[in-house]
Amino acid sequence: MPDSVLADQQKQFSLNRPIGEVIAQLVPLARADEAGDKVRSKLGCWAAACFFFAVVSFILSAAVSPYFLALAVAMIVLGIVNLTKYNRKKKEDLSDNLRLCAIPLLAALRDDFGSEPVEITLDLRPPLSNEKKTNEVKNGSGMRKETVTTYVDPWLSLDGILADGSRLQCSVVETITQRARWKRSASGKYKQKTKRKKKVDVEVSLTLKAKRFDVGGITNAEVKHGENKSTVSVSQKIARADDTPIPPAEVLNVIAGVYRQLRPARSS
Amino acid sequence: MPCMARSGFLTLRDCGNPEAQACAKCGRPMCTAHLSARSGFTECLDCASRAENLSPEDPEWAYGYRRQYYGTSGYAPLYFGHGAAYDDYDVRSFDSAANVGGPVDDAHEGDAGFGDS
Repeated sequence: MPDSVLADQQKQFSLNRPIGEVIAQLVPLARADEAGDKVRSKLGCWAAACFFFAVVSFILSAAVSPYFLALAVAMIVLGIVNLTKYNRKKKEDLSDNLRLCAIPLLAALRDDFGSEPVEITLDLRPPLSNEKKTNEVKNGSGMRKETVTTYVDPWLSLDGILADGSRLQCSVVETITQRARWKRSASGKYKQKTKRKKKVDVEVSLTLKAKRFDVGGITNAEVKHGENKSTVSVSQKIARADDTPIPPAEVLNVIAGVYRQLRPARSS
Repeated sequence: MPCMARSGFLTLRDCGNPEAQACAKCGRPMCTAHLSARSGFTECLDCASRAENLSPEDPEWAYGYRRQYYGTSGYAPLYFGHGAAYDDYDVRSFDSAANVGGPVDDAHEGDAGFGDS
């Protein structure tokens, strides 16, 4: 397994290093992303404020003094500058899965992986990026039109040897369904409403040493028995009513779900 | 006395390194690796992790998260070690360490982790 960074620019990473080094490499990215999110939020607010004051200035230029027209033009220019900066920052945005799930998950498992190299593949492109769009269906027409867009985000794949001698393979694939439709508000205006749902598939495979673990008590997983090892595979689907990142505990629950059913092997 | 810290999340194991100092809060002997730098190496990572606002980048965070996860999920990890049941957790310990070939540090064997095909 060669150590490689596939493409920073494309926000996709493939690393094969001890987990401490992986975390050390990902933390600066997460910090930069968090700072970028804050800057983007400010830029967005400033752009909106500039456009609002531009409209107010236009009204005042007609009602009070023509000098307000210059202020309105200045506000429009400032708004466009902020909007341009906002869009530039948006291109640098990384998936929040890094900060809110991947790093805490890896940090929690740091002692379990120890100093052995871990093969990890991360796709940090935002979940709703065009590259992750797999399907788009438009239903109805006119103001009753509804667009259903599906995004598939296989953002995490993890493979490493744990300190107890087991091999842990884990992958997380998210499917986001976005429904956008036009609705008429109480004031009579038409507004587009967007609703998102997420389904997260967590797949875990654990190859366990027979001399260490007894897998006889496992009921809700696929078990392949070998001479010296057994492989336990489990898959869990997690439904979420929004598109926020899943907490690391959801992934840990699937792995711990297998460990809960293990018994210590008896000496032969 | 060896360090009495328990390493791991899915399974727990003894640290076993030589003691550097006893934790000022819980009194357990700890090695330097399991003493919190933030506390000035006076508290163990378990005790120091009770502080709030730790970030996952901080090595102490994992100890606090582990305690919180065990408490909320009811997960009781298997313990591969020689000591008594872990102070804070209801661990599922082995009948004796000899049953599984001693502490888990021997786990990195040549065939470890490779499944049968």
